[in-house]
Amino acid sequence: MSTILTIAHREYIAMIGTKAFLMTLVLMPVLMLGGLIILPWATRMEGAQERRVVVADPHGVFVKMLQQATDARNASLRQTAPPTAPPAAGSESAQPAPQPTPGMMDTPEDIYLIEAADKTTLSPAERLSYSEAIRSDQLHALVEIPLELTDPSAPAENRRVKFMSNSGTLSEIRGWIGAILTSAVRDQRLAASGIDPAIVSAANIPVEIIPIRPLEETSGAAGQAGVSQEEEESIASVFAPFLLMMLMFVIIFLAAQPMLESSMEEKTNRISEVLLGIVTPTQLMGGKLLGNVAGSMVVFVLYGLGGFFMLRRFDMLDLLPTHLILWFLVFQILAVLLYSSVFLTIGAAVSQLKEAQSLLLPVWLVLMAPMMIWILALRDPNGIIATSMSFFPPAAPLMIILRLGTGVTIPAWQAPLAALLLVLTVIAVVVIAGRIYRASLLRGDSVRSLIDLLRRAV
Amino acid sequence: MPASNAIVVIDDVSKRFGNQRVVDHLCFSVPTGSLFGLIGPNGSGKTTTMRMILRIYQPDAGHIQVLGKTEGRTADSRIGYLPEERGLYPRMTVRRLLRYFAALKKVADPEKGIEHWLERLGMTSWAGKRIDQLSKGMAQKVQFISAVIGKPQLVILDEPFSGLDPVNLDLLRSAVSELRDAGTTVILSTHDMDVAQQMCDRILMIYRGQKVLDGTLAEIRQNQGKPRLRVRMSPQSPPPPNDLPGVERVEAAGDALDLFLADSDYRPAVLRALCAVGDVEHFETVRPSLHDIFVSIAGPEARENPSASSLASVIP
Repeated sequence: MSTILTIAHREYIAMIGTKAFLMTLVLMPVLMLGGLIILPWATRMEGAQERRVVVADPHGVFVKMLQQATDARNASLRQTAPPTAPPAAGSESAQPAPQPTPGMMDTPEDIYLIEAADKTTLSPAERLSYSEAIRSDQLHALVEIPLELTDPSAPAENRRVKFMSNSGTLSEIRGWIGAILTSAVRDQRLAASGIDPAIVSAANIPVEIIPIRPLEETSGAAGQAGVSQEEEESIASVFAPFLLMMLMFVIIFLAAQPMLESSMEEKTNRISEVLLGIVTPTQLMGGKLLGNVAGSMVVFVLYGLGGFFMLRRFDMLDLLPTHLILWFLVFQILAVLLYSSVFLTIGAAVSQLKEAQSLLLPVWLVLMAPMMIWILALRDPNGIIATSMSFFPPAAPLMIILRLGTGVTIPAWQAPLAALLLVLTVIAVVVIAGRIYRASLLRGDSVRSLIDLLRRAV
Repeated sequence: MPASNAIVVIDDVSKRFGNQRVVDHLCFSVPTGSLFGLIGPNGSGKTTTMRMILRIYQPDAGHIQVLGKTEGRTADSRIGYLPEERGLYPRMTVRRLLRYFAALKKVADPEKGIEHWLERLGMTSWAGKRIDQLSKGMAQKVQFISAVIGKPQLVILDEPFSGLDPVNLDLLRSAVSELRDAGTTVILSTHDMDVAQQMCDRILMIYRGQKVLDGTLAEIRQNQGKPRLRVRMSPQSPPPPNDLPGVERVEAAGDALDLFLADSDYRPAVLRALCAVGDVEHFETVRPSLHDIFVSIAGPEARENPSASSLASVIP
């Protein structure tokens, strides 16, 4: 046993002591959550922009509405208050848009400047002139409002507002202008029909359905306290399972990849033969896997602590799924043993990284299968796909953690049974991998396929 | 029959890889405390034999006894091994690597041994360097230390001197001799016949998986092939006659002649015949060198005409 611990200690140090490991440790969450963290951060760094828009309005009324709405919005922004929704001029029924809660994801709002075009209807030469101004960044956009905008009987193409810009598809201001014009045109049409827009707005107030969990005895009676809890749960039920699954994936990745490299290094540098003169292949493999599990625990602790302090910083500690830690660790250890032994064996069976990559492709596909259907599993954690994938051992660790993370009640027997199946699979894979590992360590040739690899077991 | 003091006994061992028989009914024993030379051309089965002694490979047939044990798949920390292909972790420092190997061998007080060998091989100032910063010769010395750390009873060295400069070669050769003098049994595989001839107490040659030579150098030379005489006549003397008794072939060797005899018993008759025709300045019975014997067994001529080689006659 001391031999295995000695090997495990070296593997552990070799795993966590490399720059590549530390870089991956830092970069992996950035890559995974880059869209959520980096984009708002980068936008904040860029700061608010001034967006100058020229509007050609043959009606003359809509450009004024837009200017009023812009003034109100800019005034609101200058007071550093959350932006208000654009009010439709002359309408009392305009509904305030949902206001984002200030926080880490907030980005600065651009300032909009609306100007009326020199002429209400533009000639091709004038359009070309505005186009040049847009290309040279003197102007953000040109909006052309058609004469038949308010006529519902006119053909659809004649009612379309044209928005000319360098990035019209993703432009926020396009949506903002669209919302104001829609509201204004609707109110005009209603007024023309003799209907009070306020009555229609009141009639159109949507029914809000709030997802809540079944109450448990310990949660007490439903009441005011329950309402605030519901909103938090709706966030947690989407992000918590996804983040837990991603954490499991990252830990497996960080643990298994060094096994491949270590195994290949020992083979190509002829260290295997030296080691096999001192220890048995079983001791060597056992030590490597043990060191690998220890390394994966470091990742778990570091990310766990990072998550803890992050949630505490934003006063969201109640989102921490402490009740899942035990299951997470059980499946993490089993998954690391399973995938590390496969990676270790493949590393011993090939001579070059590109040969390993072709063999690893199916392994990655199996591991990532739950990530491809995570939305399905999230919508119906007890559905047939999520449940059946939980009993497919290579996919079980990610899928079980995803399902448990939703907070939906999963039959109590499913997680233990999935763990048991995984334990049996790990034993079988480690035994087979051990045979292949022994047979491959001193061979100079490489295997070309998984079938070739399995042949070495016999 | 194996010697009673043998540390390694190989008894009718065979090993195949696929359709190729790499070791074929091999029998030999290594006396305890000896420096045992293992020679043979590339691919003759030397490395496979050493790996079987180390239990890295199991024989298909026959028995192997090492340090009194005849069975088991367990590596033995009483054995030190230096493989032909050097293998060290490139990013570890010399000292950390030696400590690691010492720990695997369960060496009780590794620091003392590490310091001794680092100093002995002039490596003390390199102890903190990473392996990938060392020259090939330096790395080879580290590999040697890792094999002998912990005073193993048996050390197996596969081509330990290949690629070394003359200074390091002498250093490592003296270190190997020192091991033998301290009572360690050393099995040494080498392609350098001078090394085998000068260092080894016993020599075993394997060819095509079979034993073709086994014994002390003197025994091997004594029994190897047909005797040869080197003679030089005075310049005034006429050349030796063509009908010298028992001489099968004559070859020039500088200003002398090599006479290949059918049997050693003809030497007095040849000397008398030479004295009868002139002045004999030089008359010597030449024993074949190990190099000559190796080439006569495994050289191109022997490979082309296996029946012409004297395989059967060289085993004492």
